[in-house]
Formats: sequence, C-alpha cells, structure tokens
Amino acid sequence: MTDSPLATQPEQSFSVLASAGTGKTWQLVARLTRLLLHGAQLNSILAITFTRKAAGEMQQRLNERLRELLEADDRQLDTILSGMGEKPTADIRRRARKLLEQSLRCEQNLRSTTFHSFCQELLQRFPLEAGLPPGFELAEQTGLLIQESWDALFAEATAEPEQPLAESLELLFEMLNGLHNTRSALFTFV
Amino acid sequence: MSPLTLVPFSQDPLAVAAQQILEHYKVRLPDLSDCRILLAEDQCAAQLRAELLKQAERLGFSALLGPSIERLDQYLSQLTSVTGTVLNRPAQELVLADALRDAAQIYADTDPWLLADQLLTLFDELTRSDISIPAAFEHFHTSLQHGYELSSPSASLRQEAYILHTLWHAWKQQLEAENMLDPAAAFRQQLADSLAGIGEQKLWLIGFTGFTSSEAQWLRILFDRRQAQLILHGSARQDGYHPDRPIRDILDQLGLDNTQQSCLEGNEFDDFISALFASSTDDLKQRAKHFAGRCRQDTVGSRLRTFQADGPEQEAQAVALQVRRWLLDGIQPIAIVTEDRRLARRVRAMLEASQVELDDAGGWALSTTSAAATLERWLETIEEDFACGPLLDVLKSPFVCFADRDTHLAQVRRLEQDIILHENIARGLERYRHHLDSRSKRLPDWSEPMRLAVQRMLNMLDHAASPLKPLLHGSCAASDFLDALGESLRELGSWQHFEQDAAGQRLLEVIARLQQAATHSRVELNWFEFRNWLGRNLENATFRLPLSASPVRLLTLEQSRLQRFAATIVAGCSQEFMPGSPASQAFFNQRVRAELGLPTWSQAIAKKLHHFCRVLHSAGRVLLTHHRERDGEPVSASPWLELLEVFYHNAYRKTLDDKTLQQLVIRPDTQPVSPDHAALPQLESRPAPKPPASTHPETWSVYTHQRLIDCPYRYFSADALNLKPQDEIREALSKSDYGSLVHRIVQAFHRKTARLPGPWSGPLDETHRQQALGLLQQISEAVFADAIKDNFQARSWLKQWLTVLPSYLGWEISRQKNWTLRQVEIKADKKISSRLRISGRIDRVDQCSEGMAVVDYKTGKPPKADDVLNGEAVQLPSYALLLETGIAQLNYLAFNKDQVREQVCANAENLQQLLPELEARMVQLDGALQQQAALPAWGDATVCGYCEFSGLCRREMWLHGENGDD
Repeated sequence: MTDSPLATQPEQSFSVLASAGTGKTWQLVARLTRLLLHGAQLNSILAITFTRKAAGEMQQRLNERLRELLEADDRQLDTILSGMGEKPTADIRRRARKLLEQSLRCEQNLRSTTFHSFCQELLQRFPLEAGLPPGFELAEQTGLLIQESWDALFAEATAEPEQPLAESLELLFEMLNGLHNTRSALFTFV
Repeated sequence: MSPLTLVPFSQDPLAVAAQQILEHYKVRLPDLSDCRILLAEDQCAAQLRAELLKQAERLGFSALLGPSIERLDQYLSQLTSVTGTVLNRPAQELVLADALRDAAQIYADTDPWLLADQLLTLFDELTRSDISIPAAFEHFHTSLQHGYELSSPSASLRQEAYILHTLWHAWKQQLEAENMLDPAAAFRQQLADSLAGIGEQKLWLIGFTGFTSSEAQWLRILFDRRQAQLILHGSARQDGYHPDRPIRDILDQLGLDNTQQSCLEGNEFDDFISALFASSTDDLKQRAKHFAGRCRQDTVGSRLRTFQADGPEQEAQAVALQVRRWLLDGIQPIAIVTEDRRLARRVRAMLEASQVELDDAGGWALSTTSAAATLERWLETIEEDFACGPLLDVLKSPFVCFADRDTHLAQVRRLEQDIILHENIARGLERYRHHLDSRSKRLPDWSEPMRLAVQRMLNMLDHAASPLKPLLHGSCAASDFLDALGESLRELGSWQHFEQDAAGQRLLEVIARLQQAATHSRVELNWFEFRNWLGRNLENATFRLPLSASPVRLLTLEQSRLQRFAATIVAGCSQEFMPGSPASQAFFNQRVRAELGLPTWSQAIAKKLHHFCRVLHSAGRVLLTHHRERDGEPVSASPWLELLEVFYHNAYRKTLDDKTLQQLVIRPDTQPVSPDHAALPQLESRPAPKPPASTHPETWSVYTHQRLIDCPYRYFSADALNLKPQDEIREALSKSDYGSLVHRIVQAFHRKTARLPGPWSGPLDETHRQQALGLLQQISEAVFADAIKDNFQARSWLKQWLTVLPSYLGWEISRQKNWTLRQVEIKADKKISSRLRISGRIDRVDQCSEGMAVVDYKTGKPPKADDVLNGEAVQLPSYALLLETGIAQLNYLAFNKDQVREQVCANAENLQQLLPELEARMVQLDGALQQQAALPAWGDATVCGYCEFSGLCRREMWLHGENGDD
C-alpha cells in the first residue's frame, strides 16, 4: 500500500490488499467520510465485512472520525481533510462539521453489516420470492436441533419397528454398512 | 378555553390537566362524576386522581366524587356495542389461515400460518389507517409501482400486488358474509356510533402522541361541537427529525392552528432540547456554544448524568446500584425506563436480591413463566413418548403434585435416580413400568409401597395424556384440541394449580381466549399447527404481576408518559433500542407505506424521540446508561445519547459521565452479597493431593490398579474419594454398552446363562461350523432384543456384530486345535501383602500342555504389547497375578468392525520377569500411599480423553501455564 490515500477517492473503485495494521480501516473510513462530504446519503452506503465485530468497529470508527471533524479547529480540520485526500475549502469545512449530526439524525443508519446479516435481511424482505415463510427466524445453534431430529427419528422407528420407516432404516444399515455411514449419509441432506 | 393545550416537557401535564378540569367544573365541585378523562396510557390514572385531589384540597375540598378515567377503547366499549361478531387475533389467524389454504396456488410453498400472521398485521394497519385496497387490481398495482418508484413493470411486484389484492378482498368478503369484524373495523364502527351516544358530555383527552385517521375525524367533529379538550405534552414548533414532530403532526391532522392552542412557557432545559434538535444552518458545535452563551450557568449537568458500562451485566449492576443509592438518600419515586427487556429482567433480579421490589409495568412474555413452561413441557412429554427430560420437568414443577409435596418429590426422585438414570431409560412409559417392576424385584431396598406409588404416578401420567395422544396424528378442529388440552390438564391436576397462581390464571385466560376464537372456525389443524398457534399466542401474551406500592417502577418509554419522578434512569440507550430499526416486513417498503398512507418508520422514530426527550424532563435527576460491548462485539450507543453528549461537551467543555458511579460499580462491596459470590481459588499448578492413609482401599480391583498407573489423580477421584461420574441418559447404545452385550454373547456361547440359548456342547470344528454359527446368531438376537426394544439403533450394532461372527467362530475353531477352554468369567482375588489384596473378573482362561492363557475380550482398541511388557497396561498382568501359577500367555481378542484379531502380549518367559516386578511395584505403591504420597494429575492427553472425571483436576488452568513456562 502506498502513502497516497488514493483509495479514498469516492469517484473511483479500488481494491486494497494490505497486511494487518497498515491502515485499511483508516482508508475505508476516510472513503466513507469523503462519500458523505460529496453528498452521499448515509443509508445509501453498504459497508460489508465478515464479522459483526468488524462491522461494529467500522461504524464506531466512522463516528469518531466525524466527531473529530466537528470539534477540530480550522487548522486541525484542514490537516485531517488533506490527510484523507480532500482539498479543504470553505464549503467542504462547513459540510465536514455537519456530518456527525447528519449521521446521528439519519433515520436509517449506515449499513455496516456482515455478509450473513445482509443476505438474511434480503431474504426477510423478499421471503415469498425466495420461497421462505414470511417472518422466518434463523436457527443459530443447529447441532442440538439435528440431534433432536436424530433422536426423534429413532424414537419413531423404535416405537413402530414393523413400519416402513424402521424397514427403510434397516435397509440403510445394510446397504451402508452400519450406523455411522447411515448417519453421515442422512446428514448430507441437512 | 382553547380546545388544545400544549404543556412543555418541563411542566407536569397532569398538574395542568387537573387545574383545567377543576376550573372547568368549579361550580359543581366536589362532584366530578360527569367528567370523562381519556388517557393515552392508563399507567398514570392513579397519579391523575391524586393530583386532582391535591389541587381540590387547595380549593377547600377534602374529597372528590371522582371522574371517570380510562383509555379511549375502554370508553367506546362502554358507550357502544358492535353489530356483528368481533374476531380476536387468534380467531382471525384461524379464519385467515383457512382461507389461505384455499388460495395456496398464489403463494407457493409458504406456510399459511406464518403468512397469515404477516397479512393480519398489515390488514390491521390498513383498516386502522382507513385505507382500502382498491377493487381494480391495475389501479392498486400502479400505485405500488409508483410507491416503489419503478419505471418498468416487475414480475415480483405484480405478484406481491396480486397476493395482497386477492387476499384482502377475499378476507373482507368472508368477514362480511359471516357478519364478522376484525377489531380495527369494530373500533372504527364504535367511533362513528359513539358520536350519537356522547350527548352533551365533554371529553378530556390527555397525553396522546398520535391519532389514526378515523380517530382524527372523530375528534374534529367533537371539536366542532366543542366537546373535546386536548392536553398534549410537548410543543409543536418544529417538524422533521425532531421531538416536536408527533405533536406537530397531530395539529396538522386536526387542522388546528396557532390561534386554537394555548402554549405554556418552558424552562432552560426545554431550550436545551430545542437547541440540540434545532434545524439551523449552524452546526452542532456552533449551536452548543450559542446555548452556553445564553445559559452561562450549567443546569444540564446537574440534571443529566451518563454511564457507559463495559457490558450488559455491568450496566445492570450500575442501574441497580444507582437505584439503591437514591433509595438510601430518600429519593423516590424512581423510574427505570428501558426498551431492553433482557436488561430489565436482569435489573429486576439484582434489585430483588437486594430486597428492593419494583413495579414492572412492562411485564414479560407469558411463555417465559413457569406456568407456561410447564404446559409446554407437558405437551413435549406427550409428543416425545414421555421423554425423560420434559417428563421430569413436569413432575418437578410446582403445578404437578400427585401426593403431598414432599412425598411426591421423593417418588419423582426414585423414578429419576433408580429407573431413568440407573437403568438408562430415556423415554417410553411402558419401559419405565417394565424396569420399575424388574428393579423392585431385583433390589430389596425398593419397598412395595414405593413401587406402587411410582406405578400409580406413571398410571396418572398415562391417564392425563390420554385425551391428547389420539390427536398427535391426523387433524381436527382447534376447539377439539383445546377441549382435550383442558381435560388433560385437569387430569394432571395442573389446571387446579394454575387457578391458584397469578401466571397460571393468565395462562387460563389465554386458553379461554383461544377457546372463544375456536368457536368461529371449524378449520382442521394438525398437531404441529395447533402447537404453533398455541405457542404464538403464549408468546404474544404478556404477564404482569399485580402492581405493588413500590417506589421503583420499571417502564417502557411509552408507559412513562405523563408521569413525573424524583429520579429516572433511562437504561439500554443503544442504537438497537433507541431508536431501533424498522421491523422486517414481507410486504411494502417504507416508501410504499408512505405512498399508501400507512404509518412509516420516520413517524415511529419521531415518536420514540419525542418520548426520549420527554423522559429527560421527567425528573430532576436523570441517568442514561448503555453498554459498549456484548459478547466481545461493539454495541453502538443511541445516536440521541451521542448527540446529547457531544452537544453538552461542546457547550461546557465537560462530560456528562457519572464518575462516582463508575468508581462504585467496580467495587465488590457495592454489590449484593450472595453466598456463592466468592471466586473459586486460583489453581496455578497441577493438583497433587495427599490423602490420609485411611482413604486408600485395601483391595484394588484391576481397574483401580490401572487408574493409579494411568493418572494418580484419577485414582484419587475414583478410589480414594469414591466419586462417581454423573449418570447421563444415553438415547442410543454406546460403544461400552455394545462391549457388554458382546461379552454376554460370548459367555453364553461357552457357559449356561439364564434366559439365553446355549451353551455349545461337543467339538468345535469345521464340520460343526454352521450349527455353531446358528447358535451364536440365536444368542446374539436374544441378547440384543432388549436393546433393540429400547432403541432401534441397536439393530445396526447387531448387524455389525453378525458380520464379525464368522471371523470369531474361525478363531474359536483354530484356537481349539492348541488350546482347551478351561473357564470363562472367573472372579478371583489374591493377597499381595499383609494389607493389600487385588481382585478382578477374568473373561476367559484357556489351557494347553505348557500352561494357561489369560484372554481378555476387547470391543475397543487393546493396549499395545509393549505397554503390557513395560508395566503401563496392567490389566492383563494383574489377571495373571490373580491366578496362582502356570501362566504361559496373555492374550487380547479384539472384536473389530468386521473381524476378530488376536494379540499375544506376553509369553511365559516375559511373565517370569514381569509378574514379580509388578507385584513388588504394587506393594511399593501401597506403602507410599500409606505414607500419604502425593497423587498428582498427569494431564496425559490420551488418558484425559477417556477419563470419567475430566475437568475435575482443572487441567486447562495449569497445563497452559506450565507450557507457557517451558
């Protein structure tokens, strides 16, 4: 990564590849700030990452940056703006000092989220199109549910050993050479 | 008098209302019986009565003939009756889900019950907002396309429009055909009808923050008739993202202008909020400086304090601590205002631990009460064939008792410990009964009265389940399910207990409400649909304990309206709750909602902001709390809290942080004392206890010997302390259970065993292979029969075993060429020293001309021969010690997945050296134990992997420390 904050230029697309601790998040927050300075609406920006922790930190870092812009004196403000690659003008300074309040009074906050949450949100918004029940909930812990299903399956087979379910399971034991393989095979459907 | 009074946040709206009411009725005082007061929130009715009385006393009246104070819906219900049947929400769900089944082609595979839930919420909003979906589909479709700002047609939008258009009209037609109304339509009808019934009466409406269009229309008529007086809390100077907006919207909606309102004067704190949210060209910092210039003396900091906790637990501690501090200073009443119910529950628990009761106006979901939990577990018990988990929860709950409480619990304990845990019975009433009988026959400590009592308990459970069991399969009407549920609960005795319990009574109310709903529909439900319908209604129902006279109240933002306190805590000031985010809905986005005239997120957020700012004025001392992290992830603070802090900091260059509270909350002596509060002792090195000589056994089993060699701490736990691992229920056959069955089969093949075929008699050679195999199969099926009856999975183990049989038989035939089977399952013990004995049970001893062979069967992995020879694996050599002399060989016979494998571990020559050494080491070890030798935990990963006391030595705590030192 070079010293030049090129990736903060809102008009261009960038891919930044750099090691940990070299300032990727700084660049990202600077880019978000510059987008806002140039009139982007907070709720029209999607900042997406892999963990909820990173998503939360991104939001926090943006708020901290915007507060700096509000509270800095003119000289400090110019330094911060220049550091982000933004040329300080009277209009930019005025806008910079209003960004924090605009952000805090925005009805829909910055979408700083994870891939999972974003996709889940889309599915919740368009359940019928996705073939899902409206108002569905995501099961966080699937292990217990799977074990309960497994126990319920065998409780039924135990209660009715002559019924088709038990016969099918027995056939699977036979064909797949035992319980372990049967379990593995059935779990491929989960 | 102007029809509208706006009371600034800083003033007490109830005091203003009382003053106006007493002034209006002054000629009739003390009689206020003609006065009708309608409140947006009836939490404050008692405070209004008290305020009226207080002000009347100043006018010379020591008592009042009180006014009627209620909510608008309560008032209308008294005044008018609805023509038609009003469907409650559960009834609507039944009727709509039924209708949806007939229209399944338009919503594909979606669950009609979940779709009904979303549709009803939307239909309710449409009706309340006086919106009807137009009859012409294209007209509706076009309005949605406009709302979504789509320039070209979209198949998805057309589908959404089609679903809603079709279902809305089908729903309305069905209601009309059956002369039924939903509650929203009934309310609208009541509003219209009430205009005739009100007569000359004047209505005082206090504390509203919004009206539906029907309510607004009704009010406009009353204003024209000079029969309504509106007292609102807040001002209406600003629009947009501002706390004034809800009041501004009401004025616009009612067509009231400035000449028709009377505004009271606010104070400096009203100015603070006004400056904070002002729409101005100045930025926040400039406005803050201007404010500080106008108000040089900081009155905000003396009123507002903030506290940022590390996590939710510390936030709850801080809230509870601050409440206790105020109470100790005699400051009351106190309000805890929060939207975070999880935090509220934790705070309540902490205050209760300090003997501080609080009035919880919010209550909690009925489904979380023990009454509802008992019902849920009872239904699980029935649907899971009396699975031990839910069954024991039901039997131990306070709502089930088949004898006096102590006797009942004693019987439940016998069932749990002796039948369920000891016999490993996970489910099945018949299996509990069977094992109860066999155990009581087998063991003398089971008295006949106890057996009969437990038997009776099982019979009662069976009887109580019988009304519901037939409904597990197939479908029937909701009323049939509810009748069966009622009968089942009565048989169980829970119904009677529910009647004696506050949450239980609420549960019965919900069941009655569902029964009433079920009379409107004969739609057939299957068991799971009924369970979902019941569960959803228990989840949506709220349970509130009756209010006490506590000086501490727990409220939501809305519930706190019109109320004043000596001190207020606004807890859970996070983005998640203040303002939160719009609910995810399957139909319409915010823009379409605005286009149609439905309530929008923008309006909702403005209302919440209005309440937030109002609460800041509700007391002279206000603490705002939030936590910065949860589960290691950052939690964003409420933007309103951040605005407050930034504005204040820029105005006065100070922070609002409550530093005293920050210091106090981390002090252990400020938290309520709890008996188990003390931290566990820190273990910095591996444990090596030195138990007294008397704790060591005088007889070692072979397993005792092996434990001592494997890990002295394991020996310490099992043999010195005599600890036993906790019994756990295993649904299916475990590998060790399989091993026991295999041992039993092999034993029965060689020796007469009760209730099993065999043993084999005669020569065992290739000519008799088929007969021998047949006998082994017969024995195997008999031995596995019980296990298969307990769990079908055992069939797979049997199948596995049957594949091993030919290999095993081959080994036996081959073995007989050189060896003769001498004995199986031999119990033996031997004196090793004047103090120590060793005992054990040997699977098998074979004989040849050179001596005897000790054979041990293994269904798991046997130890390596090297480990046997170097004294690490002592099981086989210990067996050899038990036998007198003449041991020529030590063998493991491993039953692998599809074959057997013999492993010779030692021969006569090896044993000549190994056995004396082993014996000497045992004597030496026992001597050391008698001298209180230390018994350290080795922490060996392999042993720890199968150690039944894993965790007891706290391996993870010291092992890392030791590794770190390396």
